[in-house]
Amino acid sequence: MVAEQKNAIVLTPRAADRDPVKYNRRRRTTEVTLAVAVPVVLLIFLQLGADNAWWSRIFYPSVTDVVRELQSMFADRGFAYDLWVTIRRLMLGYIFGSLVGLLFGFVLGLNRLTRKALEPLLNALYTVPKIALLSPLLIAFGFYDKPIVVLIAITVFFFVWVPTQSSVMSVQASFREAATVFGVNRWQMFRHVMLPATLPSIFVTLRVAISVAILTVIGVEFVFAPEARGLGYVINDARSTLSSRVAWAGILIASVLGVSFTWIVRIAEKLLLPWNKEDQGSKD
Amino acid sequence: MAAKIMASQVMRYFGSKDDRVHAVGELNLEINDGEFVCIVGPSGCGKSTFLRMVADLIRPSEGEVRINSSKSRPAAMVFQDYSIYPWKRVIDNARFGLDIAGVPKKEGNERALKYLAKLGLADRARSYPATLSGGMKQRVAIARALAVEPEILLMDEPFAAVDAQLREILQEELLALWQADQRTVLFITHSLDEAILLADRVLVMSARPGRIIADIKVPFARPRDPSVRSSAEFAKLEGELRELLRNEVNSHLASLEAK
Repeated sequence: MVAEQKNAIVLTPRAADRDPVKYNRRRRTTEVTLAVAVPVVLLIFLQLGADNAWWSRIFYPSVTDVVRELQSMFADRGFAYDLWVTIRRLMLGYIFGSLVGLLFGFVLGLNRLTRKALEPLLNALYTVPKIALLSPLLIAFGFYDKPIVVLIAITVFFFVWVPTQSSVMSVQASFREAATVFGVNRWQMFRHVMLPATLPSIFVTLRVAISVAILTVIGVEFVFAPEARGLGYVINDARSTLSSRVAWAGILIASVLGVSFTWIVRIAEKLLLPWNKEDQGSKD
Repeated sequence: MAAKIMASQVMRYFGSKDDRVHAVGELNLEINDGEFVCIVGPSGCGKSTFLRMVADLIRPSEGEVRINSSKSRPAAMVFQDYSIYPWKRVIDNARFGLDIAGVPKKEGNERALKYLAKLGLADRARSYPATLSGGMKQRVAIARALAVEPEILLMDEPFAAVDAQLREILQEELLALWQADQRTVLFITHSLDEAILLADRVLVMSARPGRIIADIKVPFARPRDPSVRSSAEFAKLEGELRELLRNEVNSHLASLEAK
């Protein structure tokens, strides 16, 4: 069409413009297919590589090796218990740390006096490497669950507190003023303005905090092995038995844990923030 | 007629002692119940500051603003940047002031919908603001303010961000709504044409520190029709106001150069 008439730009509808419904459906199918296909191709490659001895099977076992190893870990070696204690520690520490972090973020963000009183102290504590707290926590709570949960909670707390406070403080002034003019009380200001205004960035924070929590739980279980058990212990123990299969199986499970947790938080986000469309492009 | 808003010896400063800016004052003025008053003046002259004092978003540094009302929050405000909430649907935004006032939800929905309908937004009641155009968002903000049926309506350059055609339509809508149930309106604008069309009185403010340098009664009868724009009297008044403001801005610039 461009050729017919020189010096002319002819703009015609594209597929997306002619039939947006069909186009969006197709695009979604393509996206889902890609999201599944890429990891599948990688897994096939890993399997082929191990089977055909492109690399050493001892160090990098095949997918089927890892799956078989996992089966036997669950069936014969009580892996379900290790997994369960890790999930329990993770959930308790994450939920507790997030809640306290949100509480501090909001209180310090909204109330100047509290902020002035607590911020310097919290900042000083923020820089302390949390792993250093293991010794005193251990002395205070003894081995096993408590010190681990507390350490996860402390780590998550700082990751949630700092960004929450800053997003509370950066809520558009006119959002607050519009409510002030209608005579809102503190609770109404929180519920109608401050909470919804900060929720989108809070959810980002909560998702980042998941990986921090998993890092902490695995790390602490490394240090507390073998008494504390858990997924970290299993991965760490693979070292002493020189079983890379077990290590890879554990790492696989750690990643599945992270993905599932993130997925749960994402679902909560979708349900709670219907106005906050991830994909602004597809209005219907 | 009784005064609704009275400012006496009002001064407002910003900043600390060393770099203190004298923003407003001395202001002395009365606005009557049911009066539509437009405030015009150079940028940064403290128009918004005065409006925010009436809304009790800030207090005067000296003097007092007295509002004759039995309510604790007699005013509703329309902001220049809309300030409607992206997390609330259009109907929930329009109902917000009523929710805060404790109006039952069913009645609140009816009242909010009534004003949304008047502003041509009834069919978008279930939409989120992200799907609306700028002009529609501003109409939601106006509906939100009108829905509480405030004694005083404060409007801070409400039409500044909408295009010229829509602006005229919104002016006409506002004119019709106000004529139906006369409330006290304080309306800030940079458009002299807008001020003369809408107001009973136009207050002209000086450059900073903002004072009232002219208080002009608009002679056109009510109910007023947008066609008054084409009358000779309208053009004459607009010319006078323009001259007044030009002189004010020029002398302000000259005084800055002299410093």
